[in-house]
Amino acid sequence: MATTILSNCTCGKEDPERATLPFIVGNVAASAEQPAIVLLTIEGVWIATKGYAEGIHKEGFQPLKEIIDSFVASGGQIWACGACAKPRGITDAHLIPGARIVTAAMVVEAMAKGASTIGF
Amino acid sequence: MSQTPASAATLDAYGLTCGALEPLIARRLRELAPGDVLEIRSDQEEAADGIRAWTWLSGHALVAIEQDDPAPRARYYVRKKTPQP
Repeated sequence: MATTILSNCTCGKEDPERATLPFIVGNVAASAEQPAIVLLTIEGVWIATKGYAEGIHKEGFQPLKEIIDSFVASGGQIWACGACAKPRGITDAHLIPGARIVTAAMVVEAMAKGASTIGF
Repeated sequence: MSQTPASAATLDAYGLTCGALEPLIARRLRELAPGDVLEIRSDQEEAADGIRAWTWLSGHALVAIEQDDPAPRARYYVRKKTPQP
């Protein structure tokens, strides 16, 4: 069984480079048919909401929305930290396709099952 | 690496950098049949390492590399894998 690649994104519009890099890693992994998850935490959870990623474009990279679309189309999963989403008022109704709100236990479970992680 | 194989399709990837190239290769390979070869043209220094690593991960095969002028221009030949039964 292939190793899950779990890439952590903690930033949103306030740091476009840190917002983009986890999705680049996830997108490469998903394109190689590796199970891939981008875990959104802290301000990064906003990326899971409709319309938020549009306009995030760090010079030298593809626009974030394009990378997310490619990532999801290749089977990548977007996990939004529930503990981070709740105080920001983010619910399932706000999420983009491919995104879901997850619990800390789900993240720990993925890691305990052998996911390789990287954070930005 | 063997001699240059006949390619079923060509991907002009000049200017594409780290992280953008490999998902595009994957997209083009999806349009081909198992065993078909995709020719990828790149002018990026890191393409060789990126394609080598990505083919190892994905199970497709990097079967040939042809260097062009000026360096680091090159053509990479990737054979689409055959699904396992």
